[in-house]
Order: sequence, then C-alpha cells, then structure tokens
Amino acid sequence: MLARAGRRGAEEEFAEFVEANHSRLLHLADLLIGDRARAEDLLQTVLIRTYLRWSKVRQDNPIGYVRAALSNARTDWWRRGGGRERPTEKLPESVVPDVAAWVVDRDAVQRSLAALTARERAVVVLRYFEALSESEIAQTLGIAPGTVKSTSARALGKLRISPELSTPTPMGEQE
Amino acid sequence: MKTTDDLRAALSYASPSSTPDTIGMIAKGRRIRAARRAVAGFAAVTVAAAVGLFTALQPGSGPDQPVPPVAGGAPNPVLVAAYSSMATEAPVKFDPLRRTLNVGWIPAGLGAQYAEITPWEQTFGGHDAAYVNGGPDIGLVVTVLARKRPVTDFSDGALGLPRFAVAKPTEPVNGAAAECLTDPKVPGSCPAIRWQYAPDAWARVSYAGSAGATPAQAAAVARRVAESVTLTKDQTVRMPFTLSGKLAGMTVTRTSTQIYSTAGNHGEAWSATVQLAPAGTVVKPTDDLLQVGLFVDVMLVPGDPSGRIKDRDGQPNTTVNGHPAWRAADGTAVIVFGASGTRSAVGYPDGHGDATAAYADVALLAHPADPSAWQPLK
Repeated sequence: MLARAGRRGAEEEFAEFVEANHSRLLHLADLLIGDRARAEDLLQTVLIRTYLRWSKVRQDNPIGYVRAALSNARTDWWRRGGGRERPTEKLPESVVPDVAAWVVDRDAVQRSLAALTARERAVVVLRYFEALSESEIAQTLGIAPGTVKSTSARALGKLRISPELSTPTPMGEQE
Repeated sequence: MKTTDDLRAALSYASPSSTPDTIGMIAKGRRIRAARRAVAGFAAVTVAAAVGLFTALQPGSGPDQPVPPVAGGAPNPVLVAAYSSMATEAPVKFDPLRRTLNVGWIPAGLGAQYAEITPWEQTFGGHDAAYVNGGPDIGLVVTVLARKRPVTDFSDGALGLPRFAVAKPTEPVNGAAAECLTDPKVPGSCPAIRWQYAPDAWARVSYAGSAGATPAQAAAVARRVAESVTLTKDQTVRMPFTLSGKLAGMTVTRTSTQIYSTAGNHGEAWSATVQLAPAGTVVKPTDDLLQVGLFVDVMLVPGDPSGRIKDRDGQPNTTVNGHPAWRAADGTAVIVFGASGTRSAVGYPDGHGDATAAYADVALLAHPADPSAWQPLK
C-alpha cells in the first residue's frame, strides 16, 4: 500500500515536471533533430525513459537528464532507429494549418542548422538556446571542453555564411 | 545575423503550444516496466534452468565455462548477400546498389530486420523480440566499414554499452585481431566486438537482447554473429520500384530496406528508401547523406491499400497519376497514397527541387508486396 502511494506521488511529480517543461523540451528536440514529428517521437521516448528512472532522476537534475538524452540520441540504434530516421517523416510537418509565421521562422533556422554536423548542431543549440556553459555542454555531450570550444567556433563559421542567416557583418561573440 | 544574440533570438522562434500526453506516457511506462519484469522473470527462470542443466552435465563448471547454445539462424535473405566466396580485400567505397555483406547467423526472434548501404559502410540489424518502443534499445547491429575508414566512424553508442565503452583485446575473430567493447561497471561484459574483417577495414557487432541475459551470454551472441560476418561477391540491391529519366542518371548515395516480421511502425510490412545526389556528385564521409539531393521512400501497410498513415500524413491536397497525394506548399515533397497499394514519397531535404516532377521518374512495381520479387533499381 505504501509503495503504491509512493508510486502515485512520484507519478504526480513526474506529470508536473512534464507539463511544466514540455513545450521548452519539444522546442529543444526540434532544434536538435530538425524534424518536428521525429522530435515529438524522440521526446516521447525520452520522457518515458525518464519516467522509468524517475526515482533516481528526480533527485538529481531531471532537465539535465532529458537534455542529455535528447542531445546524445545517436547511438547505433538511433542511427537507423527502427525507421525513426526515415526521411519521409519530415514531410507532414509542413502542413501546420495556421502557424505560417512559425513555419517561416522555423524553416529559416532549420535550413541553417542543417549545414551543421550533429555535434555542431548540439553544441550550438545547447550554448545559444539552452544557455549552458562550455563545461556544462562538455558534460552533457561527454566531450572535452576544448572540443566544445572548437566545435562551437566551427559551427558559428558555417552559420556566418548561411544564406538564411547571413548579413554583411560577421557574427561575433558579444558576451 | 550580426551577433550571437541574433542567433539566440533566431533559435527561440515561437513554437505552437504543445499538450503532452502525460497519462499516456505513464501508462506506457507502466507497461514497459511490467514487460521488463516479465522478461526478467522468464530470463531468470530460463537461466537458472540452463545453468542447472549445464552444471549437471559439466561437473566443476564455473563462470568462465562456455554459455549454453543459443537458437538462431540466417537473416532475411533479402537483406544480406548470399555467401559465395569470401572477399580478401574491402573496397575504399561501397556501392549502395551492390550488397556484399553476408551475415550467416543471428539469434532467433530478431524482428524489424534492416539493411543499409552507403559508400562508407554497410549495416544489418534488427529489433529484439522483447523490444518495446520507448523501452531500452535492444537488438543487434552489424556494421562493416569500407577500407581505410577509421573506427571513429562507428557511432558513439553500441547496444548494451554506455556511450563511451572501454576497448580491450579479446580472442581473434576468424583469425583477425579483435577488441571487446566493455562496460567498465559490468565485469565480463563484451556486448560489442570489433575487428578487422579485411586489411585496414573494420567491422563491429553489438548485441543486447533476450539471448543475452548475462554478460557472458550477450558476449557469446555477439561473437557468434561476428564470426559469421563476411564480405562476399556483390549482389544487386533490389527495390519495390525502378528509376528512369533524370533520376536514373543521379548518383545513388544510400539504400535502405527494413522488413518487419510483425506489423512495424504504423503497421507497415516493409519500407525501402533510396537517396540520390545530382549526377557526378562525389560525396564525402563528412556529408550528411540524408540532407543531400532527394530521397525516394516507399512503404507498404498490408490490409490498408490507402497507403496513408492516418495520424501522421497530411490530408491529400492533389492527385498524382490518379492517386490522392499530399504535396508540400513549396513543392519540395510529395507523398502519393495507394499507388500499387503503397505510400510512396519523394522529397528534397534541402528544400530545393520539384518533387512531383521527380516522382514521374519513379515506377512502382505492379505487385511489390513480396520483397523477394523486387527488381534492380535501374
């Protein structure tokens, strides 16, 4: 009985966590994956895993856990992913009926990010969307801080010449 | 864009609000947990029985003794090259239209088997029977790299291992020096093994699944699969469609086929994909092939000749060859529903190209349901 009551409490806590953070996490997944439908699938999968490990994750850093799982979802499995990498799943997202402005803004960003490698993309998104420090990114991605720095520089170099985002003035750090 | 502040602003584009299905997640999590407990219970009983039997037959046996034999057999023959002769050398590039990877043995019960070929690697894999979508990643992945490709080409994660596993020397595979990839926290673990299957050419097998209830058993499965891997005489990759016109002249950069033993994603029986780059394109290992050129993707959902995934595809907004179809507003993607009973799609991932015009060069087989009857692409 006590165990059941405890589980219900943990489930309520998990539900609150999901409802409070879902929109931001979905946006993060969309930036990392570049495909809204696949991002939803991936986030769903990661959140179910989070639920299964909630007793441990809740005591540590649930957002960090989900963020790392989304960022590192490129194992053997995800590479082929049981069909999850099938490019046709890119198609339906364009038929969002009444969010034209979102589609335009999103498409410009996604086309630019498409020029980056998976690691470059993850570093850029974690740095400039999630506002993580270089050491936090290194920890999240399991790479050296120096690699974060060089990867970030290379990615910004690519974005600088992106036709979607480029301007006559070179991009520079303002921090 | 002038500054990184502009980049921050761009990345924070307004998104539509989302409504998470939290109740569904929890329900699915509960089912997975229950399934795991059932599998663990079954495995424990099976292992106990097997160990008991083995111990009875082998007095004095200990943890270093061989594990019990595992049931298995050959993969789906459509997805691997039939063995004829062993190649002594690997090419520096694979031809995505020619299959040379032979895998002679896989554990029983491997569903959703797939095969993929790019210029740099050939892969075969599948889901474990106990795999549940959203649950742990369990199954088998076999990858062979082209000659001179470094081991860093293997993805960071291998099944059954943390992202950064530790490589340790192990017994040779078919006479070639080999390394176990181990989880430092699990003594005796070796769910992945890599070796040079030909001079300067690497292969890797990783396995996690029902036949690997203990580290020793998983290692035994990985090794048995590895020892059955050969590069053999090339055979033509067959597809449920053929290409003509401009598409026939394009460079094929990737082919991929997945065949489900039971209804797979969205209920499909199989899916087949070809990625094409402009004629003469020389792709580099660093290229993201999924973003280059265009793709043709065909899938079949048995019993649903509409070919449309109801909860995923847009409503048809045009017709193509008399079939209902969805065409992206910018024309860079089209999905045709029901042609030869399939869902067939053409798209330009980089957002430049007329997908409907490209689709005219795709001829679906009249009766594509049986993958063993597919045809060469061109």
